[in-house]
Amino acid sequence: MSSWPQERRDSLLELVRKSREAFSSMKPLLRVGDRSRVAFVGDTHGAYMVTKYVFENFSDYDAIVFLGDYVDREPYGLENLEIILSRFLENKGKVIVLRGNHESPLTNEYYGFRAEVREKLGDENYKEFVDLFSEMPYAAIVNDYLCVHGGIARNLKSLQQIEELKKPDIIPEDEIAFEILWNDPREELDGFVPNIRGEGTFFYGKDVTLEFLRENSLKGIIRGHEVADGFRSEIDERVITVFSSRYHKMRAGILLQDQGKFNMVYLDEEFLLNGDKS
Amino acid sequence: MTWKCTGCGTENPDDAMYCTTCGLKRPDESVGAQSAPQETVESAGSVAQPTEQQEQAVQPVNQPVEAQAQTQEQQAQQTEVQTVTTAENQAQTTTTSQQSEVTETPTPTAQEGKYYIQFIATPVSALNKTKVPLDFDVFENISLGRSPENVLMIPDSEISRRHAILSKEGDTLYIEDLNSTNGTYIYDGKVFQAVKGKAQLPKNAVVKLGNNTIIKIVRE
Repeated sequence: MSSWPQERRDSLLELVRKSREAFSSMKPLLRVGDRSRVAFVGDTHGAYMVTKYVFENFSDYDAIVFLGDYVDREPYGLENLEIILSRFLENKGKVIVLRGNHESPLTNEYYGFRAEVREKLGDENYKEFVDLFSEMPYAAIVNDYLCVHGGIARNLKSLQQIEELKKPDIIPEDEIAFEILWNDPREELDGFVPNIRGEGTFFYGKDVTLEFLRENSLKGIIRGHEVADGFRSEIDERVITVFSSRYHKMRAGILLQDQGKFNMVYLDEEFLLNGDKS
Repeated sequence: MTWKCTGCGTENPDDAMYCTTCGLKRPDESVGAQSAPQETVESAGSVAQPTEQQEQAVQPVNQPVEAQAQTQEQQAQQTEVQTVTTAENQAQTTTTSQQSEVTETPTPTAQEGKYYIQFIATPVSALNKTKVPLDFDVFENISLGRSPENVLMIPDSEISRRHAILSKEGDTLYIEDLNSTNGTYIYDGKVFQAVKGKAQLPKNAVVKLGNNTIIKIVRE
């Protein structure tokens, strides 16, 4: 990693500021509505080649939903954000950029993004990213699916509650906001069970998931957050995990929905490791 | 060059033939192994194999031949998965031999169902959802721990070498914590309660071993 040339730095920081403004005017819950062709992208964690692939191949889709976790774990978080944010600013109605648990100083300190910013842009600029992350929307409803990084929370009963979450929230400190970024589904469990990820994180079981979906007239949940060989689906495909990274040494998945029907695209190791590295 | 244990993740000195933490044999291939931190994740990637392994476990007759046929590289990759299934293999093999000795085998009544440990969360994400049968007819006490001497070896560096024992008395299951470093906990519907000594397990118990492994005891 080396310091970026001034020009690239300036243009990225400009992108970050403009995106923060755009995010701050958006609600925490985006009601996107029905779109006939949608691409869902899970955690990329700096796998910018996956992000690039998505825009090269699915730009004609009606919506592209990024489920959070763009930075940390691999030292290309800035390259990744550079692509995502510029596309987002070009078409804010189509490119949906949600917050993940790694869009927070809570993780950036330990998983590499803070160090990456220090190296490439200088530590004084890290604050720009903290501000950017704190304004990102938490969730979106697309084709009656709740798109969110982690999932549902103990005290979350209605979508209205997500709509009313406060922004900016840096950590986030709000319990519901924190849990929807951190919780994991487990169809083998019932209720909410303390998660091994640590204090304040939970597994959400089958019964509470089905109840939440019923109460809010949702078809399912599309989320990222957990390592998978591209995808994992549970509770009769009503909770779908999409994982689109490369650091985990499995395939990256991109979930496509066309007229309601799901399709799974896998990017294998060959692509992830030998693909375009420019 | 140090090598990373495929079972518990410990970095071991080059001259160690067995893992200094859990005692697992050094994989043959690890001499020229790639950069250490990615190794575990990589073997976690070979999830496709548990099914194969389990199938072998059900047919112990084929198992030795097939196992030999595997290339060493494959074996090294599979080690992590094997750690769990080895116990299963053993259990199954023992079942067969016992059943052939005792002619009138009292097969467990079908309607009662068999007990299984199901992994809910582990550091090796590939193990999640995996079910391992608990055969109390073969092992009265099923030991759980990180080291290979256990009936069920669990690859998690925060689990003690000998962590806990599962036992069955009548229709009730018990778990005993063997003074493990990071503890054994039973979920009571609200929190994970620490087990001191031996405790009765509720139906469909959710149990935490150390800080990173959660299992569920199911019967079906």
